[in-house]
Amino acid sequence: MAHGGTQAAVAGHATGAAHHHEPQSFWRRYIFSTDHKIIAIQYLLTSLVMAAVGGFLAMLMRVQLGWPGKEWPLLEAIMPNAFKGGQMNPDFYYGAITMHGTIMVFFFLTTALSGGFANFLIPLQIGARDMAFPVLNMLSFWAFPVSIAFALASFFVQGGAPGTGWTAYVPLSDRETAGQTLWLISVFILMLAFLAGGINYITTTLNMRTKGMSFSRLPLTVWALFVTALVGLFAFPALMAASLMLIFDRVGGTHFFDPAGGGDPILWQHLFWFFGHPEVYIVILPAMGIVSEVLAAHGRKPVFGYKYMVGSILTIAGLSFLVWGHHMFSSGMSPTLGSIFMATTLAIAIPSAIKTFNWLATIYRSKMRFTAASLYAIGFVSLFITGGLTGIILGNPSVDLYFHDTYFVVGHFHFIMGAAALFGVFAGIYHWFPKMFGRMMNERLGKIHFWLTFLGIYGTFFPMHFLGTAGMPRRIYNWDAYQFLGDVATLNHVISISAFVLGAAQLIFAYNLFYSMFRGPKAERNPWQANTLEWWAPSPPPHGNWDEAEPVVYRWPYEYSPKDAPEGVDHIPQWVPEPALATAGGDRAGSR
Amino acid sequence: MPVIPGGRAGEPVRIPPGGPGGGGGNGRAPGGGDEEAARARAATMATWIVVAAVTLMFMGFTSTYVVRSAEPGWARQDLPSLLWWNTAVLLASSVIMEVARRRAARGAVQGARRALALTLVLGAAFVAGQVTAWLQWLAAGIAAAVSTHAAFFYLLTGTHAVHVAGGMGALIYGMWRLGRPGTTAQRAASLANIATYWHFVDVLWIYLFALLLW
Repeated sequence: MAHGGTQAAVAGHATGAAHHHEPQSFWRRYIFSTDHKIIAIQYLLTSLVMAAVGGFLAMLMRVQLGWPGKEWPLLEAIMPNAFKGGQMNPDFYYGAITMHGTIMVFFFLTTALSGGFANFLIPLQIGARDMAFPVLNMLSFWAFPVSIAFALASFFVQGGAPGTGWTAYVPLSDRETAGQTLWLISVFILMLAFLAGGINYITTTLNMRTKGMSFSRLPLTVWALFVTALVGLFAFPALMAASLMLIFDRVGGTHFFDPAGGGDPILWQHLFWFFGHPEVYIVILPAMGIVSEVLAAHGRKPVFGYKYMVGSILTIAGLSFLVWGHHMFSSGMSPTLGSIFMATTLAIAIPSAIKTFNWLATIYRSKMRFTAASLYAIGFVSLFITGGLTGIILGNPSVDLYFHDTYFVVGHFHFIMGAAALFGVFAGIYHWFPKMFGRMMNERLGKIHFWLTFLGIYGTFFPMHFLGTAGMPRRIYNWDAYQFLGDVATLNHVISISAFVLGAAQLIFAYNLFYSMFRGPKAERNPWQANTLEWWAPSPPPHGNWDEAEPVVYRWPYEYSPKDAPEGVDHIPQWVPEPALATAGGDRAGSR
Repeated sequence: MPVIPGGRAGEPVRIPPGGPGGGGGNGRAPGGGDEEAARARAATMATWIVVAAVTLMFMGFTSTYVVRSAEPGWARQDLPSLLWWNTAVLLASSVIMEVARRRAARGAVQGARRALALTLVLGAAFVAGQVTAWLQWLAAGIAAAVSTHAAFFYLLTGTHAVHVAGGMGALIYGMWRLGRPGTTAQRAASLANIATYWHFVDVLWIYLFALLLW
């Protein structure tokens, strides 16, 4: 070790004063902070609050869908406008659909993963002191609440939140109430914020890596977050362009998309899905990276097929831009074009399968420690397989024509994009909480949270495939008005009850999170005996991350259960040099 | 212990044998010694990323323009002749920006500052000229709702003008940066990034003007 000595390197000690001076005022330290870790926590907590809002809207929707026509006096007392006469107002229902999708996709999953984990992990895992542009980082975060304010304000303007769904299809979105304009402005600001964040992630990864941190030694989380930022760079401008044109249509009297004035609504769909499909991978790729990391660290086994994992991340990212047409199979697409989009869609199954088999191979004969983090990572693999398989079904145009806009699609995307990504978020929180807050979460509560969530998700979203097969359309308020859907009433009850279990389980998580943040047992520097650089830093890391010098990297990040290591060494962290390793027999390298 | 090239610094860096996936080592040296250089490289890269993102957004506009212009009923209106003058002003601003960049590279701080100030004035003149062109069209009764071509005119010129205004902000930052302590190389690098963006909005305007004329 260049500074600190061999033993310190093995033990993970860091000595000396912090390199960077920490801001002392509360406002600069915790509110308008430029420290990537504080910004990460700001992103993460804000996104979790938004998840609670989006989840609450989902519960309300399930109240309606589970028992349409039933009166709810208690809900009327709480939300008199939404539940006039005890029954949910249809306009509110459609507004809830739009805002649930918007909040969960943009304000929770994208933000938690690409805002929270990217900010926390990229500098720490590459050995940097901060992002390349800390002030830009702060600004990109603060644009986020502004965007939230615009979106939530739509509930309070005349006409309420837009009822177009998160896809804001024209011509409906051209005619919707003022809330739709607020929604579009919100999305535009959010895309700007994400682009600013992406600039930081890309430039930091490329320029700020510490000595020895070659691309072939990058943790898979950094690979995934870096590639995600690249995908965002190409995808977000399409939605920005589209939303700007739709704002012009709505407030400037133009007709870019509005068919009443000669506009083309299909153009909106092209632009939206050119963004929208890569957005799926913007959400799922970081979760994939987190899961790879957690499975290796908690399974005490190297990630199987590291190079193929990286290759599949890159392949998935590339292909994600060639598949947007599969969202528009039913829009009158030519059969030839449909076949092309089918081929590219199904092609994504190949790198996805490579990743899945590599996770399974990593789990196989591992010494898995069944922590809350690893349970969520394993759960992710399960959900990804289930959601992925139904994706193959929907990738076929002839089948999609039947299933399009049915609950089969709702079940599919909730598995792959909602639940799997959610499990990635939970796996990441349980795994990195000790580093973020310097305290441990309660493992028992974490496991209860996992099992209730896992069962709740399967109970909620798996039966939706049967609803879709039975022909139940999505975004339907009063399905009981259709006689042929009478047979699926029981399924709708089961789904709603499962959804309430799922929702209630999150209260356990919220309690565990906030209690542990302040009262949890103090965390060791490296409680999971993991190999990546962040575990070399104190818990929580100081301003500037490293003490006197940044760590030096000597190997890849997945040296678990190494065959030729001294006895008692079950892992060799990236920062441990060979001489230190030779003297480390009897101790667990890097542990403290 | 193998010796491998040290990457950008051009000096050999000793890296002990790595595990699987190792063999690299082109990152920064630890200790923060070249953190400044890394941030400068990152700034250049960030400039190009911004250029790429803005290009992609205008590609979105362009694809819509091309599709809509092929539809029946498409009518192109004659553009205000003032746009030709505005184009000349923006081109001139790019030339002066280049003078500023070269002066900064030579260490002629005051000269670079004067050239940046002139670029700023020309940029402001361009934006003012675009606003005047919009007013001329509006006075002639050609609002955005009149035709799709007119809608694209306001959309494209307006969005471009916002990007020019952003560039003007960068010019003001550049003038401030020239007055800050630092080496000639640091000042030159900062100005080179601003120049890249400014030339980009210039080229972008020529492209948009040609598209609207098409």
